[in-house]
Amino acid sequence: MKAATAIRKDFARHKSIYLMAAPVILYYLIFHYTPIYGAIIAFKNFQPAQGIWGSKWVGFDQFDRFFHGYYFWRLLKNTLLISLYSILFGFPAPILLALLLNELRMRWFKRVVQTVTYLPHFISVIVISGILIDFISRDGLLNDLFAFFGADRVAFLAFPQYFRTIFVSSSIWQEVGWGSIIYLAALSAINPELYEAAKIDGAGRFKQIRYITIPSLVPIMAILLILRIGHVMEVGFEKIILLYRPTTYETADVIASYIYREGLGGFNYSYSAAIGLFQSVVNLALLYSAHRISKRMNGSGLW
Amino acid sequence: MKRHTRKGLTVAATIMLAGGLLAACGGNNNEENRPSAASASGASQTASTAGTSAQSIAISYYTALNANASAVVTSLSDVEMYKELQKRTGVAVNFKHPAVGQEKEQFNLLIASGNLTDVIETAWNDYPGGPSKALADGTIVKLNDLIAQNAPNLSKLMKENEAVDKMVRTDTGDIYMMPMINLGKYRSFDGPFFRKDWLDELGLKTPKTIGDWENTLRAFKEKKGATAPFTATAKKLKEFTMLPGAFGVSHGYYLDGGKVKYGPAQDGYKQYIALMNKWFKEGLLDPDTFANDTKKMESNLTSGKSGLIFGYIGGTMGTLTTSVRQTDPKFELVGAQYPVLNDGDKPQFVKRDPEVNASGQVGITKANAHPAETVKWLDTLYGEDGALLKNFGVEGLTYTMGNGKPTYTDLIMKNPDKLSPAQAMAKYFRANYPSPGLADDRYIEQYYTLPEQQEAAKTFAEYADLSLEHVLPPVTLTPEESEELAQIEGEVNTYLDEMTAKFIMGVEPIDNYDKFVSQLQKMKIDRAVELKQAAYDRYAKR
Repeated sequence: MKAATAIRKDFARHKSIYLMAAPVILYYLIFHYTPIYGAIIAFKNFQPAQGIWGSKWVGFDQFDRFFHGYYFWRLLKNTLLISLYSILFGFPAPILLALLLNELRMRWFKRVVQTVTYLPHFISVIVISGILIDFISRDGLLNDLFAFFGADRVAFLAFPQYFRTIFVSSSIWQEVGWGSIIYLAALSAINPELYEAAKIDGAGRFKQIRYITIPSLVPIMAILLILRIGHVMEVGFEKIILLYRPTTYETADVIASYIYREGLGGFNYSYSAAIGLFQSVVNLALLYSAHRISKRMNGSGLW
Repeated sequence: MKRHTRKGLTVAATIMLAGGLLAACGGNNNEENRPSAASASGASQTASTAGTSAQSIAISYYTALNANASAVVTSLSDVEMYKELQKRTGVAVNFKHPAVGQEKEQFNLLIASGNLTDVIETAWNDYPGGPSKALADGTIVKLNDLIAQNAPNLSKLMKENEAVDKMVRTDTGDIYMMPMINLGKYRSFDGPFFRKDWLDELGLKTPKTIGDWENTLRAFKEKKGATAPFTATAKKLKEFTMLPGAFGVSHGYYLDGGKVKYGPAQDGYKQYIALMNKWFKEGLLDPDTFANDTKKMESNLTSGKSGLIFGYIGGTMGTLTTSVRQTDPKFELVGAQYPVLNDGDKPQFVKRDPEVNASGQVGITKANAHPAETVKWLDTLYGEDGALLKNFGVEGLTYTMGNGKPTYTDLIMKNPDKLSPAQAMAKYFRANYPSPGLADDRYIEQYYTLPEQQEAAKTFAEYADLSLEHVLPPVTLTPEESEELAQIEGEVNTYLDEMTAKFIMGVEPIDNYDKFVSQLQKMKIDRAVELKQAAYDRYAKR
């Protein structure tokens, strides 16, 4: 009772704030919580004609089929590896860029670099993939360069060993500038007195970076890393679907692309819903453990 | 320093916003482009000229847009044939088309969403679970009575042709669709095409055996500097049966003396794959085969990088020859006979369209409020006038009548807007790709304008009937069988695509082929063959 009156009171007092929050809350309710209902088809043999409720319950059959399927281990391995490489190389990249930009003295140059580096973020993934395919195809720019230096032309997209490199490096190119914005914002919030004090104490540029800049960035790095780990099982599957070929499935086929092929292409909605659910559960578990670890290590987590 | 960053951030934020807006607009455009353009136009004129049906009705019609059509129109509503049909029957049609390249996904979503259009034109054997499942799901309705009562033209064709009657039914005798029927003598529209001018220049004959093919390709490479003598895409390699056919197998299920077999599990297929691997290594097969799309493949041929291509007599041979000859008048293609292993053998796997086409089949959904009128409307396309409309368009505009024979006008054959005949046809009617109704040989005879096209049609037709012994007819499975088969094939097809590509590229040594076959067996390919066999036995008994 008490709580109810408290809420009512709070609502009366902050009416406009609640009103402002309403669209966001509704958005999450409608687009993120309501569809969870549909996840029950993972435990059914969903037949569109019978509807979600009318379809037969099959328990964990769909999960069983996936875990014992021929591709399970390969899909898991590919997903984790691509994700791991993306974090390993992709996570530090924007931090480095932000640090470098922060040291620049020439305003115009800094702005040009910033604009140039985050432009690719705005290009649709279809176009990005098209550009990539043109650049690295056998008669593309990259191979022209190789041929100029006397090397053989290679159809990079046709061989499994190149796929991860292509995927990860192109993602870095696409996202590095955009990712650096948040670090630049954090950098601008550092108290300049710290640097002045350090200068008086005789610290050079590198020492200033090491003892002032980087430690100031650690909390935000921790949060971003935790959030990133929450997506370990999700790989940007649109780009994968656009870039992979049967010959590169061996390294390129990930859980998300398999769901796409099985679900939308193969009409196995229940099966793909089960795989999707599995993926989400693992993500949740990873996110939670990353949060706990971070909390224990440096006291800041997600909540 | 701090001030600079802040300014930078403001700029960043502005660009972000602008970018976001742009992206949003782009997205909207893309989504709205395709399925719209419904035929609101012309509704007014129908009322006055309404012929057969008393009051005008409107039906919604889902079908994928063929490549010839999508090059010239955004919706079939813009095709003259349907405008004319509306004038004659008073039935208005709203077409819905999936985005190009997304046909399968969007069809599956349409079925799953339950928001069905009144009619759906597709290849019903590809419905998840097969035609019997589509009927059992209630996605489409049984047409036996509807056709008997409202479709005199189609009924007559079915009565007169046993094969047609057999192919429009499930095992239990339910009619599930209204088909495209071809009773003419032209049934093979595609095959291999070599550069005839190169052959002549090198003093070579059109190759017959696999050995001839290899020597020819080698000559193209060495003497003509072709960098991809035999150009292909992964899809084309899989679609055309001529190469595995030489080794007595096909890419999928086929018949061998009344017994169903699965090609890739046979020794003949291993030999075919080994041959492709050899050609790939030697640079005879396009090194970009597994990266190409059709456009790239065709440009390889037109730019002199290639001397052999698989394609259609109309859309490939005709269109490419016409366009290249504008700059290179000597350019000529020749349709080669499907290759054989030993001289004197007869090709057994020539592609041959059955009486009832595998696609272009119209099903009436349960959402349709006017099934009788819809069937009546579709039935016109099987009658004399309707078939003329489907194959030749509108008299005076796209064809003229003389001595009881329709002849295409220059609007089609020498289009003022420089459209190829294939595209000009697609703009006005549906003759040159599968569509419901009765096909007409007289279209083919005029469509193939070049003498080498007529020649190719004859070449491909020569042994086409032999394939009747080997091609699996359109058998139907029970819903349970279908589900089991779909599970098996889901895994098998991915594995097959991946492994055949790897064998051909040499990523996987050909010595591992037997391991590949035993993995197929682990994936229960034998069970799949069993299911197909049972379905075939039932079909044979119909």
